Formats: sequence, C-alpha cells, structure tokens
Amino acid sequence: MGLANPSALWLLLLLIPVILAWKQRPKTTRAVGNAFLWRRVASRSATSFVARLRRNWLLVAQVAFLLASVAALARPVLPFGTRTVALILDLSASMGAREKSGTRLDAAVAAVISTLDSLPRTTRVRLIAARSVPDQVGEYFAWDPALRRAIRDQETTAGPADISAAIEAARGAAGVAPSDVYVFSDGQPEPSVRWVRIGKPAANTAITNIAARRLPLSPGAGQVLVEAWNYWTEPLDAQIEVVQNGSLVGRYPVRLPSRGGITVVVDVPAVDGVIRARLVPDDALAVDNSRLAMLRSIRPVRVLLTGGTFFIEKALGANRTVLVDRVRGQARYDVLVCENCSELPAGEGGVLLIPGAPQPRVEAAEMTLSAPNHPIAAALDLSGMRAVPISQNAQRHDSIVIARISGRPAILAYEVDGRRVVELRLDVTDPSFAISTVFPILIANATDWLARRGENSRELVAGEPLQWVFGEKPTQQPDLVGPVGRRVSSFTSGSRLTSSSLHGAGVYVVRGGAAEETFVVNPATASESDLSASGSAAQTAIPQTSVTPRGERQVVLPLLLLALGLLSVEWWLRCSVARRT
Amino acid sequence: MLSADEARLLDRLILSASSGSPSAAASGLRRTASRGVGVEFQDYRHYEPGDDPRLIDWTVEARLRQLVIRVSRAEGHLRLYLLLDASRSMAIGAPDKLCCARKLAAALCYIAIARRDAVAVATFDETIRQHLPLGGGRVQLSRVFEILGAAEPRGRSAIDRALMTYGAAVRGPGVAVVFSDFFQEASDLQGLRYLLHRGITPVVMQVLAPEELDPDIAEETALTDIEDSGAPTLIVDPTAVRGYYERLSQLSQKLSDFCAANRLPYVPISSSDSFERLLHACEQASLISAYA
Repeated sequence: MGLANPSALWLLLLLIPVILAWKQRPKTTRAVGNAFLWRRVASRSATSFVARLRRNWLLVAQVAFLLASVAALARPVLPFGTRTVALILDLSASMGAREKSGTRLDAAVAAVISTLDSLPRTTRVRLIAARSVPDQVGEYFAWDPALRRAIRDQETTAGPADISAAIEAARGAAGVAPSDVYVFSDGQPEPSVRWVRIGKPAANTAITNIAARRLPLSPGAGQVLVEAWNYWTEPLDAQIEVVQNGSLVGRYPVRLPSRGGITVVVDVPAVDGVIRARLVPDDALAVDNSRLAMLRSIRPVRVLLTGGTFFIEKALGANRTVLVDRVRGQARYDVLVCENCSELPAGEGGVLLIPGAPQPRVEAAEMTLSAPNHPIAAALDLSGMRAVPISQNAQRHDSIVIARISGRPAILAYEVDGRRVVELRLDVTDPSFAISTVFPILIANATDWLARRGENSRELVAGEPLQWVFGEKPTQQPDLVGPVGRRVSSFTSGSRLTSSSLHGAGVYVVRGGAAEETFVVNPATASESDLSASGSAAQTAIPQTSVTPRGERQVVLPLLLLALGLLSVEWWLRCSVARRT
Repeated sequence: MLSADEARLLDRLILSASSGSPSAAASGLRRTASRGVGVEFQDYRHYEPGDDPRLIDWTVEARLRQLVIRVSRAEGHLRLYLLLDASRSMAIGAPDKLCCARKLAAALCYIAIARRDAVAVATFDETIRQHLPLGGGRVQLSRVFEILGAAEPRGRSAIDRALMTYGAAVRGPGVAVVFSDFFQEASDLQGLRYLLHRGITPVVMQVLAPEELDPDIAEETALTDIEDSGAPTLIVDPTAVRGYYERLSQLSQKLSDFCAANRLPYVPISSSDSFERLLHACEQASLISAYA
C-alpha cells in the first residue's frame, strides 16, 4: 500500500492536544454516604478494558474521526491487483534531434507520460534509462509524482543506447517480472516489446572524424584533418570551423554531397592542446556537428643510464622525447637502464635490463617476433634480423616473450610489484643488431612502455568506458570532471580510475596524479547521426493497455464517509452527555 | 417543624394499635387492637393450651361443645421511641435525608402526643448522641421538636451499636421507629434484633435520597465517602451503576425480609417525597391509620 499524500500524516500530531485535553478535563466528583456499595463495582469498572473503552467513548470517537480524516487526506492507495510494467527511454544522441515542437526526447517523454496516464494508478512502473549501459532509474507506482519527475529529468547523451541490454535489464531486474515492456525510441522496433517509435526522418550532417598531428620536420607545426558527412538526400553548403584551445584557426566553406562526405586538411602553425572542428550552421542534431581532437604536449621521459653501452646511449639519444642522465639526480626517473644487474635497481620507474657481454660468445641467430600485438613490438620488423643470444636464468612465469632467437626468449616484458621490466637477452654490442633500424625502434618502444606513455587514450567516443592509469600512486583522491565542470562518477582501485559515465561530448579532466590530465569525448556519429531512417512519417501510436485494470481501491471516499459518520457519533455522544448533566 | 396544614392533616391520624402493646399504667385515649385484659368484649377464639382457664366462656361451651375464650379490647397508651440517624450519610440529598426523617419523626410525635401516647426521642451516629426519655403532653412535644431541630448530620454510622446501646437503656413494650438509611457495611441487623429482644417493636424507616435510589452517573465520576475523608476515591462510570443497583437492592431486600420475618413494618421512603406521600407510605405500612 502507498500513500499519495504522505505529508498529511503530520496531522496525526493533532492527536496530542486531543488526548491532553481529555486527560485534563475536570472529572465529576461526588460525595456519597454508601461508598461500600460502590466499592466493589468501582474496582471492576476501573480495570475492565471494555469498561475503560466504554467510559471514554467520546475520546474514542474523536480519535477515530481524526485518524479517518488524516487517512483520507493521506490518500492511501491499495495495490489491489497490481502489475508491473517496464518503461525504457532511449537516451541516445539521436534522441536529441530537434523536431517541430522540441526534441525527440521531449516527444518520448510526452509519450511516456501518456502511457502512464493510461495505466491503473497502482501499476508498478520500472523506469530504465537506455544508454550505452542501461540504468535502472527506479521503481514507482504509476500515480507517484516522483516517477514523472524522474522521467522529465532524463537527458540525452552523445553516445549510443543499448536497447537490447535495457530490455534484458528490465526483465531480469530483481522483483516481479514486468507484464509489459514499453520502449520509447527512434530506433528499429524489436519484437516482444511494446515499441513506441519516436521521431521523423530528418536531414543531418556531422563531423565524423578529426585527427591532428605534428609535422615531423617542423617543430610545433601540425595539420588537422576533418571529415564531414551529409546523411541527407540533398547536397548542402556549409562551413567547417576549426578552433584550437579556444582560438579560431579558420573557417572553410564546403559543399557536402548528398549521402556523402568531404575531407578538409588544415595547416596549423603551432598545433597543440584541444582542437575542435565545428560544422556551421547547426541542423537537426547539433551534438554531432562538433568534434574534438587532442594533441598532448610531449613530456620527456627521464632515463637514468647506469652502465649501458654506446649503442644504448645512442639509441636513447636519438629519441628527442627522452632525457638521459648518467648520474642519478633529484628528478624522478621514468626508466632505469641497468646493465648486468642481478636485481632491480631502487626507484619506481620501469627497468630496462641489459645483460653483460656473453661468455663465451655464440653465433648470431635468427630473431622472430612472438608478441606482435604488444606495444614493444609496434612497428618492429624482425624479418631477416639476426642477433646473438645471451643465456639467462629461467624466465618468470608471468613474463611476455616479445621476440626469440632460435626459439629461446630474447626480449621479455613483465611486471614486478607494479614496476615494468624489459629484459634484453641478446648482445646489444653486436653491431649487426645494434646499428640496425630495428634497435632504436625497439629501445624507443621499450622506453615508452616502461614509462607507461600513451597508455591512456586521449580521445574516446561517448558511451565507451574509461580506464585511466596513473603513472604513480595518486597523491590525492582521484576525480573525474566532465564538460561544464560537472563531476562524473568514477571508481578508483589502486592507480587505476574507471568510469562508465562518459555520456556527454566535450573535454574531461582527470585529477589525482602529479598534474591534471585531459582527454576528449566525441559523439557516436557512426550509429546516431543518420536520422534519415529514424521514426516514420507518423509517430507510432501509443499502444493502449489491453489489460482491464483490476484497479486500485478508491479508499479516499469511504474514509471521508467514515470520518463524517464518526463526527456524527461524536456529536451525538457529546449531546447525550450534555443532556444528562 | 410542622406547618398548620400539616398539623391539620395529622389531627385525623392515629398510630396503628398493631404496633406494640399498650401499657395499662396511663390513661391514653387510644383503643388498641391488642387483645388483653379489659371490659369491652371484642371476640372469641379457640382455647389453646396455656390460656387462662378463667377466660373460657362456658356458655359457649355448653352450647357448642367447644372450648373458646373471650377476647376483650384492652385500653392504654403507646410508648413511641423515635430513633433518628444523624450521621453524615444522612446529609446526602436535596432535601437531605435527615430533613425528611426529622419531618416524619415530628409528624409521628405529633400524632402520638395528640393521642396522649408517650414519646421518646434519640439521635445517634456511632452512638447515642442525644436522648429524651418518654413523656407526654405539649411540653414533651416541644422538647422532641427541639431535639429534632437541633440534629445535625455528623459522625460516622454505626447503627447496630447505637440501637443496642439504646435498647440496653430502655425496656419494652413500645414501638421504636428507626429513621436511617441503614448504610452500614456488613451489618447483620443486630441492633434491630436487640430491640426485639428487649420487647421493643422496631419500625424500619429506610430513608434514601433520590441520587442514591437512581444515581445519575453519565461519565467517569470520582466518588468520595462523606463519612470517611481518608478513604480512597472511587472512580466509577455508567457501567458501575447496574452493579450498584444490585447491591442496594440486596441491602433493602435484607431489611425487608427481616421485617417480614418478624412481622415488622418496613417503610422505604425517598427524601424528595412530599409530606402527604410520606404519610401515605406510613399508612400503607400500617404504622398509622385514620382516626375512627
């Protein structure tokens, strides 16, 4: 049972003055000369519950009247014949498309409300917000104003909506299985649910891709590639606006062919930070008219080289993003290069272990790549490469063999107590390998992997989960802040922060490490931007509930009648007492 | 004590002779219904063992072959003892019970004195408070009225003790009219029995107030004992009235049964009854009758 107006229960406090007044009333006192005749009957009447009830009829009637009145005002709803339905609201990016009177989401909300109004008031409604991951908003009675507030509070995302997962979540949630599942979406209907199709076909264009790069031969200079697509059947003249860190780079007029796209490459003198490409003017769906790219300032990797060879030093020096120290300073080192070390050197950074010269020297043998997908093997072409193996102790059971020489592990990667280690079990002084093009690439890849650089993705699509790895243990409670400064829910475990709430497009900030880090989230244009097939010419009619409502108990009226009846009884009792006195 | 109208009413009444036996010592004008030694023939009755053989009427025996004796009407005056309960419980009622008892006692005294009967009066609570010995004449009347008028309700009730004390001080024959509510807990009417033992015929005048006969308890009421201020207050409600009725009825029935068993007059009266009604009640109880 529920109460439509629970705040009326505060009126029960009125019982206090009623009871106090009853207790304070002056009792009739009488002197008698035959008290012995009353004595026995008086004790009986004082202790009997029925007698106590009878002598306080007036109070009982007053209290009952007050209780009935308060109950009537509280509007109790008896869940007689209650059933449960699930309402799934599509919150994908396409639901933000503008139509004549508001967005598709506005139309969906209106359809949901209309459906609610057609349901019996005691129906239990399970509200599911369909995003990339379905979210069960809550379970309410159909009459509950909180349900309508929850529906109106929903906002579209910039990502897709997994309707199938939402339907499964609706059916599989704890509690009573819903007798009906309603889906309010602009997507393709699915069977076995009551699908309310929202929205009409609309023209839409989108920035589908943006990429920024630094030119290798011109420090600081770069290029931005922007791809725009027209999903409609008619060509469109528009402008692409490129902004870098809030400053306009340029506007470029384009003509978008029908159901086709164009690509624009823009030269940027000093490319850095967040670059935004925007399509002007806005159309039905504004969220996909803008896209972000991010060029992160290169933070040099600090390497401490203890021992090592000439070739190692040269390979490291060739990488302009690496700073090499021969003597340990005050700085924190991302990578420690240790030659012939029996144990890991002190520090927190990754370790590149280089063996000493082999004794006795063996012949070079062919190298093969064992883990081509590992970051250390990126762009590493070992075809025809030969190197001199150096025998070492047995490999760790958790190590990854990146490359082998004649079947024996030659390059290994593993972690020890959170520190990454790369072991080179080959002769790095052998010129045949050391001066090959593979060697500096190997050293650069190993350095990046040991320093954990590039591990965190800087560009994501709305709806994708985020996994952010801090290079070192966070110095403060990690925090994730989204566009417009709103905190985004996240979970931190050790040095890893995860979040599945990247619903909005924009720039996000991660706090907790040595410095703030930013990344960008872009709209899911691949699944959401084509509005030409959504909805139908006419919105699907809201399905009428076929089940005859078993109805709620309308208890307000009986309670009011009861209260009036009790008031009459109380008045009659009071008059009777007055007549007798 | 009595108005002129009331006195005129009383002038036509006499105390009934069935109450007590007259004394031959005085020359009361009342004829008594009692049979005894006298001149005037009244009736015959069959001879019973123990009767005086000199009363056998041989003439009737010779004629009817039955032993009968003559019964003559005795002449003499009645001894009337008026015993008035003046305990605090007699203050209940409007008018209070003591006022009603006082009025009726005065009326009976008036009737008796008018017929030259002897009247004594006593007021009591736990014991005899005031006492006036038997006497006749107008002087006695005024003395009785004085004592009756001065009686104030006070003290606790101890009817049996008071009657036994009084009975020990006087002797019969005579009629003792006891004016009381007879509200005494666990009383076995020893006082009345003792009066009988002393040859005094008690007449029970149970005076009750209307609120005692029909208590108006409409809501929770606190009752206090008028005779015992230290007694705990009783809380009663309308449901207790029925039980009270039963107990009051048992008390009155006990009195009534005692009087019936001893062929004594029992006169239950209400303090709100009119004077005429009071006299009518006495008449119905054969205590008084119209003067013939």
